[in-house]
Amino acid sequence: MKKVVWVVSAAAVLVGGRMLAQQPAPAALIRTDISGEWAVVSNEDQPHRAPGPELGDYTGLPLNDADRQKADAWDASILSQPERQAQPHPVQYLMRGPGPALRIQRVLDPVTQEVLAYTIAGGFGRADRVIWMDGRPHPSDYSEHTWDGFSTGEWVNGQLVVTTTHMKQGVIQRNGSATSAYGKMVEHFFRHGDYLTMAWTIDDPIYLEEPMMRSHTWRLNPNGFMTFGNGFESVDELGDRPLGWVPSYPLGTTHPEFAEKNGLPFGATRGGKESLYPEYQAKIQEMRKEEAARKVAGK
Amino acid sequence: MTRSGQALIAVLGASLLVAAVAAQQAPPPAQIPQPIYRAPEDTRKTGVRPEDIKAGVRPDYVKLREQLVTIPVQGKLHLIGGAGSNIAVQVSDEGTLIVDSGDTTATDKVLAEINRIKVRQIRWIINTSADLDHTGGNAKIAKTGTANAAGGGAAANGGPGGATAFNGDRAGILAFQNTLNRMSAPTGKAASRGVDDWPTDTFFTQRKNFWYGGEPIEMWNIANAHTDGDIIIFFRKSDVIVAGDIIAADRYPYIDATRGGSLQGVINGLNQIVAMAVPEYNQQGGTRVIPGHGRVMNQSDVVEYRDMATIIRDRIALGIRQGKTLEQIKAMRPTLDYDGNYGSTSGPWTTDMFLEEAYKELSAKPAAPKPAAKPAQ
Repeated sequence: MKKVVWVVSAAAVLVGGRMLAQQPAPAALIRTDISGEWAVVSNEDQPHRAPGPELGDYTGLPLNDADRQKADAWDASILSQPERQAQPHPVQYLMRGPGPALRIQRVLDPVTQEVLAYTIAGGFGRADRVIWMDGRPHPSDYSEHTWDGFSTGEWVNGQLVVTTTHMKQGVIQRNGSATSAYGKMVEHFFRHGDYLTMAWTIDDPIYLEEPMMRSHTWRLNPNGFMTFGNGFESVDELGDRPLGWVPSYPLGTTHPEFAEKNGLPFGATRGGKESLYPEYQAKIQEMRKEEAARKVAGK
Repeated sequence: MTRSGQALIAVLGASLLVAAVAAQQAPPPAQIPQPIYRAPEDTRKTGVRPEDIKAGVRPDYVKLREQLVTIPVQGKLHLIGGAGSNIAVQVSDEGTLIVDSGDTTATDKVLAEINRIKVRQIRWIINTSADLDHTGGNAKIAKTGTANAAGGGAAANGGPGGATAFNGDRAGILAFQNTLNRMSAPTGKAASRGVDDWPTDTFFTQRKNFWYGGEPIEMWNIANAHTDGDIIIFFRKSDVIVAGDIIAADRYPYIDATRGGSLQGVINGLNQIVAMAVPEYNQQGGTRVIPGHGRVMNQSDVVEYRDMATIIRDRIALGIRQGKTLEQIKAMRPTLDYDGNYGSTSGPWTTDMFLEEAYKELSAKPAAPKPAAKPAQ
């Protein structure tokens, strides 16, 4: 009998041990180090990211009517205001371009060596960010909003999931289309060997009809050793504008040049949530026919 | 050496050894890094939870900010929000100075918050205008304070002048002259507010300087802005500007034309704040601005608000030049792109009220105050 008990116990230990070993690790414990120097891989949306989008190109953006009006009225000369000269890209555009190359570092608790935060530096206008990993809550509605926002992160199945609020109002495309200061951005960082991919969504209660999604990729660049110069300095590059000069296009202005240049119906360049889905291609064909018919009719 | 002497030395040695080991074992305090540009955080949330932020779903931001919140802003300045209007609190060894006293209904809670952060009694209240939501706590809060320097004796910096003789030992109330005029009345006529609410010290020049709490404080009158009695206050060492309702950041420019306010005056005030504020590099941080309503700002946020006010002014003015009526201009929806941020169909200042006042001002001849050629620095 003793022998039987011993055998059963040993089997239980062995089987149980194997079963326990097969249990998936808790999602929060699967982690991948993403720190290091990363070179940007601009193989997606290059025309938008490097040269920059043209006025009136809202393709693929789930803008609502308010955002469309805001973007149509946006005059790039506004960046010549001395008080806007040194403004960096907002965090909701930062990863889009140009670049940026990134330096991601872990901030460790000096005693416990726990990861308190990640910092991301790099790119256009010193994109210094802090991503808090210590479980702190997002701040009060009265707290300041910044260009880098307030970010917290957690590990979910090997992805670093970063939630950012308290951003400043800023562009999501360099042609005036904006998101408000009240949005939420969620970034998923995941690493495959020497490649780092980040997919992100932004929810905006003021300017977007649906969450907007984009993705970007970087390649590990151990020889990067980025150097960071001074931040931007404000200069008055025009010199003859009074304080309070605010250029904008008059109400009702539209920018059809992008559509004309690319042979697109104007309506197809206006964005909106339905333009995100494959079915929209059929609608573009309809618009094309309607536009051709209007031209024939001489309207 | 006697046996007792040896025992004493042994005990001392053991104590030293224990103390040394304990000192070595005590972990140093964790060095928690802080964000580069951000004021210390308030962990009591009044905003929307991140998981509740959705595209196309606009929360009622005004309602969200009704809960009383205190956050350190910069230097010696704190912000108490949710008290009707924002209240700025300068905490120093010299005494406590507050800018605006909030709505009457919030006074007890405001006093509890001030008592939590102050180190000395309240000695000064500054009013940015005569609005009830900015001055409702004047009488009650002033009574809890003192005009006298700590330890008794004459007040430093002049104290509240001769007012103490009339009002007793309480905090002084500073404001622009027109603010007192709005709250008081000539002898024989009924005043809109009780005498205890009235400012005890006023000025009628464009600028008044004042040193308090270890820093220079500049008070600037902004002519015909939200009303005809507005001032902005610049705490120079703390590097904080308190803007009053020159910036009511949760609504369109708040113009009380019946009390001398104008859209152009508000824009002039915004331009002056933009000129006075200096951001750190990349337009982050630097001078912080506490608006009359809404969250803490820096120069970039003021620029965004100023640009909105200017662009809408220009749209309405263009419509007027084209001969359009108010209704035709409203039909053009000149505020559509900003309504999500500042618009309202109810409450003290709706989008329609703003458009109507702006139209009235811009179609009037002669126009309200001209744009300031060069704001005073």
